[in-house]
Amino acid sequence: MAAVAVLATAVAGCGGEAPDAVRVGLMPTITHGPALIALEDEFTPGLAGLPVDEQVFASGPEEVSALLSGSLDAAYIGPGPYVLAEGRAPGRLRLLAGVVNGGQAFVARPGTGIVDARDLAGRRVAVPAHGNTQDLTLRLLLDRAGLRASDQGGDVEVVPVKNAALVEAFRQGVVDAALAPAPFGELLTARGLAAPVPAMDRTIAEWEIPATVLVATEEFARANPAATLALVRASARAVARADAAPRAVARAFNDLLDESTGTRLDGGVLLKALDGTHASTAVARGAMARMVRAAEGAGYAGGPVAPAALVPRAG
Amino acid sequence: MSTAAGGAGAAGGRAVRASRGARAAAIGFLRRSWFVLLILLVWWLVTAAGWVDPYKLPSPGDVLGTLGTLLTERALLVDLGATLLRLVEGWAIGVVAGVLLGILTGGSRVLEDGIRPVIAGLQAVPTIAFLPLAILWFGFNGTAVLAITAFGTFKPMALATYGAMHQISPTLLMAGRALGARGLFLQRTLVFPAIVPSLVTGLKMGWSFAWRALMAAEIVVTGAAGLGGVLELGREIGAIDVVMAVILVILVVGIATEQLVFARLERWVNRRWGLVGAR
Repeated sequence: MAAVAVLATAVAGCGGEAPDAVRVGLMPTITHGPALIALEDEFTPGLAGLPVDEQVFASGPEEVSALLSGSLDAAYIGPGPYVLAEGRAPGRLRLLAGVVNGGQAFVARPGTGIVDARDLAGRRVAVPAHGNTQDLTLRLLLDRAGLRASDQGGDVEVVPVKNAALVEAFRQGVVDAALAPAPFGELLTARGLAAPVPAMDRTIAEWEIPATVLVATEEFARANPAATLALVRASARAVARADAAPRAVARAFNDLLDESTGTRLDGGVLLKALDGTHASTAVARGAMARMVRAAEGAGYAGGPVAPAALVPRAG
Repeated sequence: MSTAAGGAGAAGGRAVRASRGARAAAIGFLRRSWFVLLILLVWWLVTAAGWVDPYKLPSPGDVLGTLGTLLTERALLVDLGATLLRLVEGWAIGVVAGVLLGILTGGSRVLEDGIRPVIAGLQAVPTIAFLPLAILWFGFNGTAVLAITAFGTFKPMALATYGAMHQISPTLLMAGRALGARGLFLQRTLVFPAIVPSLVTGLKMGWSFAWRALMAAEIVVTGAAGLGGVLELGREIGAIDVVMAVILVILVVGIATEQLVFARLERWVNRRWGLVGAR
């Protein structure tokens, strides 16, 4: 079987036909709001004559796997998975533009007395996944407070808890706090299971860490410069619309949720979550460098990330 | 003179025997490991020639290097120990529950009619589908993982035991009853010994199902130490070398368990019960 896998991998590496669609990945989260809007309208006419084939993923690492295996041409993705991919497969992806900044909230269980990063010593803190944007941001917060995660020899236990399991983890008291992507922090707060920690949210906001960026495979961007440019422009229009009309983002998010799970989230919670986000095509270089530093500190980075990879480049 | 010649002859004989022993050992080693060596060779060739993207398939050397790093820097042995402990505990619970239910359903028409179709139907449901339920009942912790592992073992074990009960020769049962064996005495002295060979197959099957359930559950409930958590870490950070190193560890544990435990148990049962296939 292993021999078959080796051969299959070798054969899968061969390719190179002209695309018949631009395959764009995204995740069903509120921080991918501009992507949702773009899918509704901006991508409809196609990109440089190519239709858009959207694919929904559950997590950033899955999107990276799809990009690097040739199943996707571009994706809306968190900066965490992007810098990890750059460390492990340098030059295979290209950062095209920013999409949303902010979009993560630090919340703690009521009664834990957590008001600052220094209070996290000896605590269990949830993040959605190892190496994702929240995990890396949390490590930056710990570093600033002079603390370290238990897997780096410290006493703060960083526990990966999938977003869908976060409510149950708080209800059972399995974790003391969480750095959650929007709208899950706001959802926990609305249900009385957690309270915001404003000091941490302020620090994160100062760092201007993106929640979502737009990337493409280098192979696709080189072979299809017109489609790549059209993608960046369509995305920029969607970003501007999302920034001007958060209600449209909330509606698009709920429509996608309804389509995939048959449920809708409270509009108030979504708008509250959108308050903490800022749709923008700009990517703060310092924020990306911080992500790289956190990934290296955690031992996640497979290799160095070139500074040029942290600057958006459409053409 | 003759003594010296005799001594030299004996020493020569020992050398020849040692040489033959070494040759036999080498041949035995090759016979058991030729397939593994072939895979390693193909893997090394494909990666050394640059035919595949190293991100998708790292070289054997890289994977071994990562394994060394995981052992020294990330305490992989602690994860392995935690996983094995859960595996043995979950498997043991599943075996006891499965054998008991299998014997009960195999020995009672009422229980058989009511319970067996449900157990057989549950076989079609992946054990991991019950994880959300286990998390609600037992918490987002190792107990939920243990419960899933036990449940994963329980289903094949119950069916294997039930099947074994139905393969007991009616003549044997009639003879036992004619000699006055009844109730628990009949179960202990005739039924249980008769189903042992099939139970060994069930134990092996239960072990492999337990592994699958355990890994799937540990991947989701990643708070506690365990190989599943390391596997998920590798996936999440895109480190295929970490994923392959963990797979390698699981493979080695699987081969060791088969060779050191189940193969020996099977040979012993085959000899003890006078069955064929005891090569």
